[in-house]
Amino acid sequence: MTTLIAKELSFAYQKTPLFNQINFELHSGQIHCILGPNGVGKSTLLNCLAGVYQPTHGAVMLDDHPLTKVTPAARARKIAYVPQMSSERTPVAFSLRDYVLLGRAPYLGLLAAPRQSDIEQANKLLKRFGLADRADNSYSAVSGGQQQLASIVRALLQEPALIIFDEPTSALDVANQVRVLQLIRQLAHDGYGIVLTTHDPNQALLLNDQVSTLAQDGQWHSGAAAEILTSENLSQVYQLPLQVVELPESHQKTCIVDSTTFRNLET
Amino acid sequence: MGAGRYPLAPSTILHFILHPLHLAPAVDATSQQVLLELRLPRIIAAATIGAALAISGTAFQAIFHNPLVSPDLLGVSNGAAAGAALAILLGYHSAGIQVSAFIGGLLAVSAALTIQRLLHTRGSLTLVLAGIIISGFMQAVIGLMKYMADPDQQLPSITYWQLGSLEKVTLTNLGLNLPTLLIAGVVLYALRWRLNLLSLNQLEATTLGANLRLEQGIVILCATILTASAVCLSGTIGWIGLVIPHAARLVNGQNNAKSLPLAAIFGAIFLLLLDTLARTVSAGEIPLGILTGFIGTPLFVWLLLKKRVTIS
Repeated sequence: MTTLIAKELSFAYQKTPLFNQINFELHSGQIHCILGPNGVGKSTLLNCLAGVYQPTHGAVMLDDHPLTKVTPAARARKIAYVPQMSSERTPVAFSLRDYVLLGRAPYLGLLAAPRQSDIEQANKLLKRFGLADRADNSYSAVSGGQQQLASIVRALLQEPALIIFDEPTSALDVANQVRVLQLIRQLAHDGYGIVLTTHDPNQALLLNDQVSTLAQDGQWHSGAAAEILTSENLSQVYQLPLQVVELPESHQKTCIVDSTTFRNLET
Repeated sequence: MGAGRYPLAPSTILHFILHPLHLAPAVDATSQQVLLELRLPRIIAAATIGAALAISGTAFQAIFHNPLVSPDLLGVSNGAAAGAALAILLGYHSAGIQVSAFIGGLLAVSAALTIQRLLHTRGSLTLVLAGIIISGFMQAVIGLMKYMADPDQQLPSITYWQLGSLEKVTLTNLGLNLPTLLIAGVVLYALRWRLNLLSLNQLEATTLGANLRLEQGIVILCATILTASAVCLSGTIGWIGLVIPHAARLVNGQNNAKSLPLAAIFGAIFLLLLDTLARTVSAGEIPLGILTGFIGTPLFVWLLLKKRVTIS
């Protein structure tokens, strides 16, 4: 059981505060979905949770150890990070196999290269994710969906307890979005603790676990999905009249913009 | 080994190689001297410097995630040459020149990185721009030293450093530079897979467990030592650090674990061929820096064209 806890986390970029006094918790087997409009600092928050950025105030604790005291390699054995597609990924032309093998880095010494066992482990995962016949293709030459799968394979090769996803579905079509969400749910089921950011409240409704919202004014709400994903809170977060409705037969909840409201919106 | 202003027959060379094993008669004294004191050090130097510049270029291109950087473009070569020029001006000899060249190279790359940081961008173009600025500044420094130098002794030495040549390589200065070249080269060779990790952006490399500041520091240090030692032996020889890594990647792919050793081999062969050309084509010696420029530039254009074709 691994736990990541952030206490009273604040971050300011060149003295402009992005968020203030955020409390956050993630346990193995949980999915924690962070919602919020563009530019409120969701990615920055993830960077703080991963130990890449130092928060201005507060601390992130990994199993009761301050994250800043953990070495990068030890951290990478516990927490994997799947960066946002395109914007935060280095455009590389490694073969998919070489690309996913980078996930073994936290287990290899400074002067070491992947061993045969690492390569076999990589091949096995590539096969499980349907990428076996693409293993020798260049990362930059495969489709967006395959790139996303490859970066998830890379994360899994880190054998982490927790995985951080920054907008895992933002560059994908609907079918691939659903596939990735299903995969995330499966990973949580397998015991990984998962935190992800998304723009789409419906994804948080589908995943139906822990949810936090970060609004433009820095307001932070955290709790179970049913508690946080209300019409009132979402409208406030996105500064737009949104409605969470229940579909008649399946009782599935979905978030919509009412068409009358849509026509009457001031631009 | 046979080619040059004092041509030697292949049989003489064979005898020279086989004689210590008591398999052939001894070669005459002059040939022996030419081979041992001129040709052999020069061949070793050409291969080592070619490999050193190519490894250095591969390492710089990887850690700055930028296929356009090279020891020349980052200002390392000119910084090292300026350091060497200063040492010559101050009357230092071999070891002094070596240390001074290394400090000059390190100062240049630090200055380029500082400029990039001051501009608050991490883009590749800014780094290239910063490198050009520093190179220009270092050239001005060299210019100033040439102006101040004594025209009989120091000026030709400094000019020699700028043009690049293996003419003055002797067993002594080869012996002085070979250990540093070997150590830095072996460290970078051992780090070749790690370079893949360091070629990712800060977020990806850090979350995959890299201690970026430390590891990048080691790579910059070693790549700078390689370039500075090479400059100490031969002066600035451009283009190899830029072109050869591209050629190696074209053949062996992006994985530095595979492309770095190949770049070293390509670099060694390339400079060996060019140096042989330099000392055989005309009666006088053609400075190597000039030859690599003439051959390196069209080769680079060809490689870029080739790359575009394979991408699309």
